[in-house]
Amino acid sequence: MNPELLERIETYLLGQMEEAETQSFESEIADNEQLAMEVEQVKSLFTGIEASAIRERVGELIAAEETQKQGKSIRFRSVFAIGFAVAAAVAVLLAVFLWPKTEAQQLDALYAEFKTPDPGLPGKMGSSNNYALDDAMVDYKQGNWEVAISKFETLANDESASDTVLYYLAMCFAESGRDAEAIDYLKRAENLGGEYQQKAEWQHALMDLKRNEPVQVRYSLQRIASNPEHPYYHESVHLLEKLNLVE
Amino acid sequence: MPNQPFKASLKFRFGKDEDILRAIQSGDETAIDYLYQTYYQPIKLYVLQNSGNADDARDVFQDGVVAFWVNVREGNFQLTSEATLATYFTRICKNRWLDKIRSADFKRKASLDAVTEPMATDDVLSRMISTEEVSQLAVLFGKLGDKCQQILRSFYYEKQSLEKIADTLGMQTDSLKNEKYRCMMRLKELYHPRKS
Repeated sequence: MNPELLERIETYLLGQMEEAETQSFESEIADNEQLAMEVEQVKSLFTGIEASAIRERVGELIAAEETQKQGKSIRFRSVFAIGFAVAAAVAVLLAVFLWPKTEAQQLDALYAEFKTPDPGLPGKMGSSNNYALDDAMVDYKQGNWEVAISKFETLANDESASDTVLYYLAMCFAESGRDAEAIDYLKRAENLGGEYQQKAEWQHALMDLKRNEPVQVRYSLQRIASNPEHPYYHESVHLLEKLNLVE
Repeated sequence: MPNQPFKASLKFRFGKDEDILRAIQSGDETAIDYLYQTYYQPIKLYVLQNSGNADDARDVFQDGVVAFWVNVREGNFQLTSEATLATYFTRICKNRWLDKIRSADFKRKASLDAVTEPMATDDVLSRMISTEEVSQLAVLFGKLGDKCQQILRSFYYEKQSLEKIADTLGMQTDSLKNEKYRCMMRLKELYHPRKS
C-alpha cells in the first residue's frame, strides 16, 4: 500500500471524503477485492489504535486507585517510624482538633460528601415546543437560581407540568437554600412516577440529610437500598453505612 | 465501599443505558469512568472469588471495557428488551475470565458452576467482535515503538492535527507525515503479516 492509497482510505474511513468521491470510492471497493481487503485492514488498524488507548485509560484508573491505597499504607507505616513520642503529640493534637463532633456536624459533613449537583439538561436547538423549558434550563445551568425559579414556576403552575419541570424547580430551591420548597416539589416529582422519580427520591433523601433529619433520611435510603436496580442503590447503601457510624 | 470519592454526577449524565451507548458512540471517554466506577469492584470481586488475583481482575476488566467500547463503536451492540447494559457488560467480563481459566496455561483450579448456563445475552454477544480479538489488537499496538504509538494515537484517536503533533515532537510536518506512514505500515505488518 503506497502513501497515497493509505491517505485515501483514511480520508474515507474518517468520514472526511466529499459525498461524490465517497460514492465513487465505494463503487471501486465493490469492484476491487484487493482494495476492499486493504480498506478492511486499515479499519482494523484504527480499531487497534483505539483499543490500545481505551485499555490504557482503564489501566490508569485502576493504577490511580492502587497508588492511592499504597500511599495510605506508606503514610501509615511512616507514622510508626516517627516513634511513640511524636505519635503521642499527634494524638494530643488530633484530640484537640477532632474532638467528637455533634450529630448535626456529622450529618452536615455527610451531606457535603454525598451532595449530588445536577448539571441540567443539554439544550435542544430548534425544539420550539420546549422553548420555555430550554430557556429556564439556560438560567439553571448558569446558576441564576431566582430567575430559573421564576421561569420553572410558571411552567409548574400548569396542571400538566412534567416531572422534569418539577424536579428542576426543586433543584433550584435546593441550590438557593429553600429546602422545604425543594422537598415539596421533589415529592410532586416522585408522585408523578416518571423518568425523574428515582432521581427525586435520592435528592429527597439528601434534603432530609441537609435538614438533619436522620430518621427520615434512613427511611428514604432504606427504600432505595431495597431495590438493587435503583440507580442510586450503591450511593444509598454507602450513605446508610456511614449514617450508622454517626453518634 | 468505594475507594475513591464516587462521582455521583456521572449517574446523572448516564442515567439510562442509552446515554452510555451514545457517549461511547461519540467517543466520550467519561463513559469509561462510569463503567469503571460502576462495575470494576463487582468484577474484581467475581475474579477474586473464582481463583483469580488482583492482576487477573485488572486484565479482565480492561479487556471487557475495550471489547465493549469497540463493539459499540462498530455498531455491533444493540440493547434488547431481555437484558440491561449491566447484564451484557458483566457477562462480557465473566466470559473473558472463564476463557482464561479454561485455557491450557491456566493451572489454578476454578469453579465454573455458577456461570456456565446459557443466558439471554448470548445471542447478542455472539455477534460482537470477540474480546480476545480486540485485546490482541491492543497488545500488538504496544509492540510499536513509543514514538510510533504517540504519533498514531495523537492523530487517529485524539484527532490532533499533523501540525500540532509535529510541534509537540519537534519535527517538520512533512517528516511527521512520512513517519506516520511508516508507523502505520509497521502496525499493518503486525496485524496482517504477509505470508512468505
